[in-house]
Amino acid sequence: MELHDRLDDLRAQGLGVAAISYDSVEVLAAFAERRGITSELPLLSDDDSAAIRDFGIYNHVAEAGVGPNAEEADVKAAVEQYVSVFGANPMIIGTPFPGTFIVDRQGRVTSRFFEEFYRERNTAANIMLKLGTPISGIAGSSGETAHLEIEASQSNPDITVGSRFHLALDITPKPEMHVYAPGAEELGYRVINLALETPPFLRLLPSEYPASEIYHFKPLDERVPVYMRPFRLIQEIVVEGDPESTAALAELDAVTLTGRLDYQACDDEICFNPASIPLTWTITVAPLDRQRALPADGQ
Amino acid sequence: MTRLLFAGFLVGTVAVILSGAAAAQTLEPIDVSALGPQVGEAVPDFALPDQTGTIRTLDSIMGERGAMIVFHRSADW
Repeated sequence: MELHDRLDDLRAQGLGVAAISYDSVEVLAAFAERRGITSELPLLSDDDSAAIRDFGIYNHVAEAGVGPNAEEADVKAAVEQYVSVFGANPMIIGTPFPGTFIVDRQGRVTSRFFEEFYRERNTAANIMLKLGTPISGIAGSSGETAHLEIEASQSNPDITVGSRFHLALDITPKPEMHVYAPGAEELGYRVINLALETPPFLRLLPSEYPASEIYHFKPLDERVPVYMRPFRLIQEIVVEGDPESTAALAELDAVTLTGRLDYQACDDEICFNPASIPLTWTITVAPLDRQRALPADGQ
Repeated sequence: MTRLLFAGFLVGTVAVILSGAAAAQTLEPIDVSALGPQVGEAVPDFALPDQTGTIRTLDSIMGERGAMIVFHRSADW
Protein backbone atom coordinates (compact mmCIF):
# COMPACT_ATOMS: atom_id res chain seq x y z
CA MET A 1 0.00 0.00 0.00
CA GLU A 2 1.52 3.24 -1.16
CA LEU A 3 0.45 5.22 1.91
CA HIS A 4 2.16 2.66 4.11
CA ASP A 5 5.37 3.04 2.11
CA ARG A 6 5.29 6.79 2.77
CA LEU A 7 4.96 6.60 6.56
CA ASP A 8 8.60 7.56 7.16
CA ASP A 9 8.32 10.56 4.86
CA LEU A 10 5.11 11.65 6.60
CA ARG A 11 6.64 11.20 10.02
CA ALA A 12 9.70 13.20 9.00
CA GLN A 13 7.28 16.03 8.23
CA GLY A 14 5.61 15.69 11.60
CA LEU A 15 2.40 14.41 10.06
CA GLY A 16 0.32 11.70 11.67
CA VAL A 17 -1.91 9.65 9.41
CA ALA A 18 -5.19 7.76 9.37
CA ALA A 19 -7.07 6.00 6.59
CA ILE A 20 -10.84 5.85 7.03
CA SER A 21 -13.27 3.59 5.19
CA TYR A 22 -16.65 1.96 5.86
CA ASP A 23 -15.07 -1.50 6.18
CA SER A 24 -15.51 -3.52 9.35
CA VAL A 25 -12.60 -4.07 11.75
CA GLU A 26 -12.44 -7.69 10.53
CA VAL A 27 -12.12 -6.66 6.89
CA LEU A 28 -9.44 -4.11 7.78
CA ALA A 29 -7.54 -6.63 9.92
CA ALA A 30 -7.54 -9.10 7.02
CA PHE A 31 -6.47 -6.41 4.57
CA ALA A 32 -3.67 -5.26 6.88
CA GLU A 33 -2.39 -8.79 7.29
CA ARG A 34 -2.58 -9.51 3.58
CA ARG A 35 -0.65 -6.36 2.71
CA GLY A 36 1.75 -6.30 5.65
CA ILE A 37 0.33 -3.07 7.07
CA THR A 38 1.35 -2.40 10.65
CA SER A 39 -0.72 -0.50 13.22
CA GLU A 40 1.57 2.46 12.57
CA LEU A 41 -0.86 3.12 9.75
CA PRO A 42 -4.25 3.10 11.45
CA LEU A 43 -6.95 1.79 9.11
CA LEU A 44 -10.07 3.09 10.77
CA SER A 45 -13.42 1.34 10.57
CA ASP A 46 -16.37 3.69 10.07
CA ASP A 47 -18.77 0.85 9.42
CA ASP A 48 -21.94 2.91 9.90
CA SER A 49 -20.47 5.78 7.84
CA ALA A 50 -21.04 8.16 10.77
CA ALA A 51 -17.66 9.85 10.51
CA ILE A 52 -17.98 9.97 6.73
CA ARG A 53 -21.29 11.82 7.18
CA ASP A 54 -19.80 14.08 9.88
CA PHE A 55 -17.10 15.07 7.46
CA GLY A 56 -19.79 15.88 4.89
CA ILE A 57 -18.36 13.64 2.17
CA TYR A 58 -20.92 10.81 2.16
CA ASN A 59 -21.45 9.59 -1.39
CA HIS A 60 -25.23 9.80 -1.81
CA VAL A 61 -24.94 8.95 -5.51
CA ALA A 62 -24.49 5.29 -4.64
CA GLU A 63 -27.99 5.26 -3.13
CA ALA A 64 -29.50 7.19 -6.02
CA GLY A 65 -27.97 4.61 -8.35
CA VAL A 66 -30.12 1.83 -6.92
CA GLY A 67 -33.12 4.05 -6.09
CA PRO A 68 -36.35 4.81 -7.97
CA ASN A 69 -34.63 7.30 -10.29
CA ALA A 70 -31.76 4.97 -11.17
CA GLU A 71 -32.65 5.04 -14.87
CA GLU A 72 -32.64 8.84 -15.17
CA ALA A 73 -29.86 10.13 -17.38
CA ASP A 74 -28.37 12.47 -14.76
CA VAL A 75 -28.31 9.71 -12.14
CA LYS A 76 -26.64 7.32 -14.57
CA ALA A 77 -24.01 9.92 -15.45
CA ALA A 78 -23.34 10.66 -11.78
CA VAL A 79 -23.06 6.94 -11.01
CA GLU A 80 -20.51 6.52 -13.77
CA GLN A 81 -18.49 9.43 -12.48
CA TYR A 82 -18.76 8.95 -8.72
CA VAL A 83 -19.72 5.34 -8.06
CA SER A 84 -18.71 2.83 -10.69
CA VAL A 85 -18.29 2.67 -14.42
CA PHE A 86 -19.87 -0.78 -14.09
CA GLY A 87 -23.09 0.69 -12.67
CA ALA A 88 -24.45 1.03 -9.17
CA ASN A 89 -24.22 -1.76 -6.65
CA PRO A 90 -25.71 -1.86 -3.12
CA MET A 91 -22.24 -2.80 -1.83
CA ILE A 92 -21.01 0.72 -2.58
CA ILE A 93 -23.64 2.43 -0.41
CA GLY A 94 -22.00 3.95 2.65
CA THR A 95 -18.76 4.95 0.98
CA PRO A 96 -17.36 8.49 0.89
CA PHE A 97 -16.29 10.60 -2.02
CA PRO A 98 -12.65 9.53 -1.70
CA GLY A 99 -10.13 12.20 -0.86
CA THR A 100 -7.52 13.47 1.54
CA PHE A 101 -7.44 16.24 4.15
CA ILE A 102 -4.22 17.65 5.57
CA VAL A 103 -4.85 19.31 8.93
CA ASP A 104 -2.71 21.29 11.35
CA ARG A 105 -2.30 20.53 15.07
CA GLN A 106 -5.63 22.23 15.78
CA GLY A 107 -7.42 20.06 13.25
CA ARG A 108 -7.90 22.88 10.74
CA VAL A 109 -7.66 21.96 7.08
CA THR A 110 -4.50 23.29 5.47
CA SER A 111 -5.08 21.55 2.17
CA ARG A 112 -7.42 18.99 0.65
CA PHE A 113 -7.32 16.73 -2.35
CA PHE A 114 -10.49 15.40 -3.91
CA GLU A 115 -10.99 14.19 -7.44
CA GLU A 116 -13.96 14.61 -9.75
CA PHE A 117 -13.69 11.02 -10.97
CA TYR A 118 -13.87 8.30 -8.37
CA ARG A 119 -11.05 6.24 -9.80
CA GLU A 120 -8.50 9.01 -9.85
CA ARG A 121 -6.61 9.36 -6.64
CA ASN A 122 -3.61 11.36 -5.66
CA THR A 123 -0.86 9.12 -4.38
CA ALA A 124 0.49 10.13 -0.98
CA ALA A 125 3.78 10.95 -2.68
CA ASN A 126 2.03 13.26 -5.10
CA ILE A 127 0.18 15.05 -2.30
CA MET A 128 3.43 15.55 -0.44
CA LEU A 129 4.98 16.97 -3.55
CA LYS A 130 2.13 19.45 -3.83
CA LEU A 131 2.63 20.42 -0.22
CA GLY A 132 6.24 21.21 -1.07
CA THR A 133 7.37 18.36 1.14
CA PRO A 134 10.66 16.72 0.24
CA ILE A 135 10.10 13.05 -0.41
CA SER A 136 12.42 10.22 -1.09
CA GLY A 137 11.84 9.75 -4.79
CA ILE A 138 12.56 6.47 -6.48
CA ALA A 139 15.90 6.95 -8.13
CA GLY A 140 15.89 6.55 -11.86
CA SER A 141 18.49 7.17 -14.49
CA SER A 142 20.97 9.97 -14.23
CA GLY A 143 23.04 11.51 -16.93
CA GLU A 144 25.25 14.33 -17.92
CA THR A 145 25.68 16.43 -21.02
CA ALA A 146 28.18 19.15 -21.79
CA HIS A 147 25.74 21.64 -20.26
CA LEU A 148 23.68 19.89 -17.60
CA GLU A 149 23.55 17.16 -15.00
CA ILE A 150 20.25 15.38 -14.89
CA GLU A 151 18.73 13.00 -12.39
CA ALA A 152 15.42 11.36 -13.12
CA SER A 153 13.14 10.02 -10.42
CA GLN A 154 9.53 9.04 -9.95
CA SER A 155 7.18 9.47 -7.03
CA ASN A 156 5.97 5.89 -6.90
CA PRO A 157 7.59 2.55 -7.70
CA ASP A 158 4.29 1.21 -8.97
CA ILE A 159 1.00 2.50 -10.28
CA THR A 160 -2.49 1.17 -10.69
CA VAL A 161 -5.83 2.27 -12.14
CA GLY A 162 -6.50 5.85 -11.10
CA SER A 163 -3.05 6.59 -9.66
CA ARG A 164 -1.95 10.15 -9.89
CA PHE A 165 1.83 10.18 -9.76
CA HIS A 166 4.73 12.18 -11.07
CA LEU A 167 8.06 11.97 -12.77
CA ALA A 168 10.72 14.42 -11.74
CA LEU A 169 13.89 15.68 -13.34
CA ASP A 170 16.45 17.34 -11.12
CA ILE A 171 18.57 19.46 -13.37
CA THR A 172 21.81 21.19 -12.47
CA PRO A 173 23.23 23.58 -15.05
CA LYS A 174 27.02 23.39 -15.23
CA PRO A 175 29.03 26.47 -14.14
CA GLU A 176 28.25 29.63 -16.13
CA MET A 177 25.54 27.75 -18.01
CA HIS A 178 21.86 28.59 -18.21
CA VAL A 179 18.84 27.04 -19.89
CA TYR A 180 15.61 28.76 -20.85
CA ALA A 181 12.46 28.98 -18.79
CA PRO A 182 8.86 29.59 -19.98
CA GLY A 183 8.60 33.06 -21.49
CA ALA A 184 11.96 32.81 -23.26
CA GLU A 185 10.25 31.41 -26.36
CA GLU A 186 9.01 34.93 -27.09
CA LEU A 187 12.63 35.93 -27.68
CA GLY A 188 13.29 32.93 -29.88
CA TYR A 189 14.94 30.59 -27.36
CA ARG A 190 13.99 26.96 -26.83
CA VAL A 191 12.39 26.51 -23.43
CA ILE A 192 13.51 23.38 -21.60
CA ASN A 193 10.76 20.80 -22.07
CA LEU A 194 10.09 17.20 -21.22
CA ALA A 195 8.31 15.48 -24.13
CA LEU A 196 6.85 12.10 -23.19
CA GLU A 197 5.34 9.39 -25.31
CA THR A 198 2.53 7.83 -23.35
CA PRO A 199 0.12 4.98 -23.94
CA PRO A 200 -3.57 5.94 -24.16
CA PHE A 201 -4.28 4.88 -20.56
CA LEU A 202 -2.01 7.61 -19.19
CA ARG A 203 -2.99 11.28 -19.19
CA LEU A 204 -0.30 13.92 -18.90
CA LEU A 205 -1.06 17.05 -16.91
CA PRO A 206 0.72 20.27 -17.87
CA SER A 207 4.41 20.22 -16.88
CA GLU A 208 5.19 22.22 -13.76
CA TYR A 209 8.07 24.65 -13.93
CA PRO A 210 9.62 26.27 -10.88
CA ALA A 211 10.12 30.02 -10.64
CA SER A 212 12.85 31.22 -12.98
CA GLU A 213 15.26 34.14 -12.78
CA ILE A 214 15.99 36.86 -15.29
CA TYR A 215 19.26 36.75 -17.16
CA HIS A 216 20.48 39.99 -18.67
CA PHE A 217 22.29 39.30 -21.94
CA LYS A 218 24.18 42.57 -22.31
CA PRO A 219 25.29 42.37 -25.98
CA LEU A 220 21.64 42.41 -27.06
CA ASP A 221 20.32 44.08 -23.90
CA GLU A 222 17.91 41.15 -23.59
CA ARG A 223 16.29 40.09 -20.34
CA VAL A 224 15.36 36.44 -20.56
CA PRO A 225 13.80 34.05 -18.02
CA VAL A 226 16.31 31.27 -17.35
CA TYR A 227 17.42 28.60 -14.88
CA MET A 228 21.01 28.95 -13.74
CA ARG A 229 20.80 27.05 -10.45
CA PRO A 230 19.61 23.50 -9.73
CA PHE A 231 15.89 23.15 -10.39
CA ARG A 232 13.24 20.48 -10.66
CA LEU A 233 10.82 19.82 -13.50
CA ILE A 234 7.71 17.91 -12.55
CA GLN A 235 5.45 15.94 -14.85
CA GLU A 236 2.23 14.79 -13.23
CA ILE A 237 0.48 11.81 -14.78
CA VAL A 238 -2.92 10.25 -14.18
CA VAL A 239 -3.65 6.60 -14.90
CA GLU A 240 -7.07 6.66 -16.56
CA GLY A 241 -9.87 4.81 -14.81
CA ASP A 242 -12.18 3.91 -17.70
CA PRO A 243 -12.84 0.23 -18.50
CA GLU A 244 -10.63 0.22 -21.64
CA SER A 245 -7.68 1.56 -19.68
CA THR A 246 -8.32 -0.87 -16.84
CA ALA A 247 -8.31 -3.74 -19.31
CA ALA A 248 -5.14 -2.49 -21.00
CA LEU A 249 -3.38 -2.08 -17.68
CA ALA A 250 -4.40 -5.57 -16.51
CA GLU A 251 -2.33 -7.01 -19.36
CA LEU A 252 0.85 -5.31 -18.20
CA ASP A 253 3.42 -5.93 -15.49
CA ALA A 254 5.27 -2.70 -16.15
CA VAL A 255 5.07 0.42 -18.25
CA THR A 256 8.13 1.95 -19.82
CA LEU A 257 7.77 5.63 -20.52
CA THR A 258 10.15 7.08 -23.03
CA GLY A 259 10.66 10.70 -23.73
CA ARG A 260 13.24 13.34 -24.30
CA LEU A 261 14.39 16.46 -22.62
CA ASP A 262 14.66 19.26 -25.15
CA TYR A 263 16.66 22.31 -24.18
CA GLN A 264 18.99 24.99 -25.32
CA ALA A 265 21.91 25.99 -23.12
CA CYS A 266 24.02 29.11 -23.28
CA ASP A 267 26.80 30.62 -21.26
CA ASP A 268 27.79 34.27 -21.22
CA GLU A 269 29.36 34.04 -24.66
CA ILE A 270 28.07 31.07 -26.57
CA CYS A 271 24.62 29.73 -27.26
CA PHE A 272 24.95 26.04 -27.99
CA ASN A 273 22.78 24.21 -30.49
CA PRO A 274 19.45 22.99 -29.15
CA ALA A 275 19.87 19.49 -27.71
CA SER A 276 17.67 16.50 -26.88
CA ILE A 277 18.40 13.80 -24.31
CA PRO A 278 16.50 10.52 -24.42
CA LEU A 279 14.98 9.48 -21.07
CA THR A 280 13.30 6.33 -19.84
CA TRP A 281 11.25 5.47 -16.79
CA THR A 282 10.05 2.00 -15.96
CA ILE A 283 7.11 1.77 -13.61
CA THR A 284 5.67 -1.43 -12.24
CA VAL A 285 1.93 -1.97 -12.64
CA ALA A 286 0.42 -3.16 -9.38
CA PRO A 287 -2.51 -5.51 -9.89
CA LEU A 288 -5.80 -4.30 -8.45
CA ASP A 289 -6.34 -6.08 -5.15
CA ARG A 290 -9.33 -8.22 -6.04
CA GLN A 291 -8.93 -10.54 -3.11
CA ARG A 292 -11.81 -10.31 -0.64
CA ALA A 293 -11.40 -10.57 3.09
CA LEU A 294 -14.49 -12.70 3.58
CA PRO A 295 -15.78 -15.66 1.58
CA ALA A 296 -17.67 -14.46 -1.48
CA ASP A 297 -21.38 -14.32 -0.74
CA GLY A 298 -22.52 -14.63 -4.32
CA GLN A 299 -22.43 -10.90 -5.13
CA MET B 1 -56.38 38.54 -30.39
CA THR B 2 -54.41 36.16 -32.56
CA ARG B 3 -51.20 37.61 -31.18
CA LEU B 4 -52.40 37.20 -27.62
CA LEU B 5 -53.32 33.58 -28.25
CA PHE B 6 -49.96 32.98 -29.87
CA ALA B 7 -48.20 34.57 -26.88
CA GLY B 8 -50.19 32.33 -24.56
CA PHE B 9 -49.20 29.31 -26.60
CA LEU B 10 -45.54 30.33 -26.36
CA VAL B 11 -45.70 30.77 -22.59
CA GLY B 12 -47.32 27.37 -22.33
CA THR B 13 -44.61 25.77 -24.43
CA VAL B 14 -41.86 27.35 -22.36
CA ALA B 15 -43.54 26.14 -19.17
CA VAL B 16 -43.71 22.59 -20.54
CA ILE B 17 -40.04 22.66 -21.52
CA LEU B 18 -39.07 23.97 -18.10
CA SER B 19 -41.06 21.36 -16.23
CA GLY B 20 -39.58 18.73 -18.55
CA ALA B 21 -36.10 19.89 -17.58
CA ALA B 22 -37.02 19.82 -13.91
CA ALA B 23 -38.31 16.26 -14.19
CA ALA B 24 -35.03 15.05 -15.75
CA GLN B 25 -33.00 16.67 -12.97
CA THR B 26 -33.33 14.11 -10.17
CA LEU B 27 -29.95 14.65 -8.60
CA GLU B 28 -28.45 17.90 -7.37
CA PRO B 29 -25.29 18.73 -9.32
CA ILE B 30 -22.24 17.58 -7.38
CA ASP B 31 -19.17 19.69 -6.74
CA VAL B 32 -16.80 17.45 -4.82
CA SER B 33 -14.48 20.35 -4.06
CA ALA B 34 -17.27 22.06 -2.10
CA LEU B 35 -18.02 19.04 0.11
CA GLY B 36 -16.68 18.76 3.63
CA PRO B 37 -14.45 21.11 5.60
CA GLN B 38 -12.68 23.69 3.47
CA VAL B 39 -9.19 25.11 3.97
CA GLY B 40 -9.11 26.97 7.30
CA GLU B 41 -12.09 25.07 8.72
CA ALA B 42 -11.76 22.45 11.45
CA VAL B 43 -12.52 18.81 10.71
CA PRO B 44 -14.87 16.99 13.09
CA ASP B 45 -13.40 14.78 15.77
CA PHE B 46 -13.89 11.03 15.49
CA ALA B 47 -13.45 7.91 17.59
CA LEU B 48 -13.10 4.82 15.41
CA PRO B 49 -11.52 1.39 15.89
CA ASP B 50 -8.40 0.61 13.86
CA GLN B 51 -7.51 -2.78 12.34
CA THR B 52 -6.50 -4.07 15.78
CA GLY B 53 -9.70 -2.85 17.44
CA THR B 54 -7.98 0.05 19.26
CA ILE B 55 -10.07 3.23 19.31
CA ARG B 56 -8.33 6.11 17.56
CA THR B 57 -9.30 9.77 17.63
CA LEU B 58 -8.18 12.85 15.77
CA ASP B 59 -6.00 13.66 18.76
CA SER B 60 -4.42 10.21 18.97
CA ILE B 61 -3.36 10.09 15.33
CA MET B 62 -2.03 13.65 15.38
CA GLY B 63 1.67 14.23 14.60
CA GLU B 64 3.62 17.14 15.98
CA ARG B 65 2.69 19.30 13.00
CA GLY B 66 -0.66 17.84 12.00
CA ALA B 67 -2.10 14.87 10.19
CA MET B 68 -3.09 13.42 6.86
CA ILE B 69 -6.60 11.95 6.89
CA VAL B 70 -7.36 9.78 3.89
CA PHE B 71 -10.87 8.60 3.02
CA HIS B 72 -10.96 5.42 0.98
CA ARG B 73 -13.95 3.74 -0.61
CA SER B 74 -13.02 0.33 0.72
CA ALA B 75 -10.04 -1.82 1.52
CA ASP B 76 -12.02 -4.85 0.43
CA TRP B 77 -12.96 -4.29 -3.21
